[in-house]
Amino acid sequence: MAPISKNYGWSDLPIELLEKIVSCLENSYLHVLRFRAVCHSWRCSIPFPPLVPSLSLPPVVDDTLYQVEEFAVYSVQPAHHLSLTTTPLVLRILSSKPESEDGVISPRALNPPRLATKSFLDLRDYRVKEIWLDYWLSPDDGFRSPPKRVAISSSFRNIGEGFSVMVLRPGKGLALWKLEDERWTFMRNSYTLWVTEDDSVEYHNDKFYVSDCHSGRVVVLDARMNITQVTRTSWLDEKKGEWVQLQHELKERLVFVGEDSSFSIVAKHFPEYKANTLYFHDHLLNDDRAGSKSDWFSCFNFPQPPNWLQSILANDSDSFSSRFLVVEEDEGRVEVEKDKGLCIF
Amino acid sequence: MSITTENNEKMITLMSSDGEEFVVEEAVAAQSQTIKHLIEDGCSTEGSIPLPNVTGRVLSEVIQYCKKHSSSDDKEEKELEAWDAEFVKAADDHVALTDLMMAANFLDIKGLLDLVAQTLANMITGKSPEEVRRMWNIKNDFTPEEAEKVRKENQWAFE
Repeated sequence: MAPISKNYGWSDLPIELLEKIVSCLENSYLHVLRFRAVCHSWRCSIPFPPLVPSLSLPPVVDDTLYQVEEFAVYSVQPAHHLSLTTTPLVLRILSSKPESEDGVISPRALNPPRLATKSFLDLRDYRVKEIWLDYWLSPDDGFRSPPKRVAISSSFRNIGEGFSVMVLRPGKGLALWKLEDERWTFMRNSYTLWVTEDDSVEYHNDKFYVSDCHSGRVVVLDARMNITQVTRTSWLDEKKGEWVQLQHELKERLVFVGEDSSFSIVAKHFPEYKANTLYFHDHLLNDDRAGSKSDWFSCFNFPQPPNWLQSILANDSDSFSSRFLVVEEDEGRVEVEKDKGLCIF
Repeated sequence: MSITTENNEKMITLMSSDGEEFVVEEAVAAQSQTIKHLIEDGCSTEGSIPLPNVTGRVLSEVIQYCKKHSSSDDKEEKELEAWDAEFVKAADDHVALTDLMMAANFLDIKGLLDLVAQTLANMITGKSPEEVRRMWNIKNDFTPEEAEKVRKENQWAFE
């Protein structure tokens, strides 16, 4: 073994140490890919990373098989001025399936939402941060049924004891799948909890949170699907929640809102974004509002949010979904007007 | 060289590659599996244990880590975590951390190896490959064929 000197070359690090470092990279797939793009010896030392497989589950009721798919949201920031764009992109990709045949991953841009089609992004020119993971239950029937909202108790990378999946069944209720039971248990819609298309489910700190926007409540359930708490929110009381002055605690957050992926993140970890801001993606805004500005999507500074949003954001975790606030424009519950800010009905 | 302190702690002397000597309690030095085995094999009786792969500068950091970790019990986990964070921060840069990692590997100190590997991984995470190269002074030595494969692997297409 060579003596350790100050100028020890990193590309000469012993394989076992490179492997050790790689095993510490969060989200192995993408970061390992990038690790292998540094130099010949790193590429040769570390094998091509496998994608996390989607999780197959037995049928909920009918004969349809389901797969839980993982989606990852990345913040992609140009590393130098020669890049395609100078503003950070927010991209969402299906991260749990094998890549498409030609080995090219197709992301969907959340910000800006319309990148030129048929364009390529060379990730080597960018800094990439994983912002968020979300999960959907997709039927294995050639997309005849729509995917369902689902929350899982740990990411696919750490499936272990106590792993469970909760599925939201609009109009019907909830279904819970536990690894150790290997079967579904159900909770029917009732007076206490009535889930519809508009609702959503999240997992955080050993508890599932289910929104019930008809009653304006968030129902908290434990890992055995017992209701432990029902939080009355001001969701529907907020008839015309005019958002007023800024609240300090929200300056720490960025909130991304979309139909299939909504989340909040701690702003200090993402200095490239404006703190205290609500970012919309998907179809929440009309096309004609897009105008010519490429960054039209970016958003609205936070005036004071209604209480229900605050209670979710006050959570001390680093990232916690605020999907509870996802509402679709055609239902008339979110209306965005450029000069007036955001109103919730 | 075996000395016994008033606490009845056995002391041993470690000698770095550049001839610096460190007298430490055996329990502290035994955090290193390598040193532990050397002691068990009776290699410490004739004076100091030579560590030809570790410089004095790095060794003093390693000893600092071992001292802290041999004197703390599990109850102080939180405090220890904070201490670890400060410790790697003080190591200052990736060159020092790389040296520390090499030493932790040679001396077989699992906790330290994990800590440094995680710190280095965090430093890489998110950076572009070119930034990693610049930071670590690594040459982009891909053959054109390899470079083309790398490009394809790192390409995302918008449909």
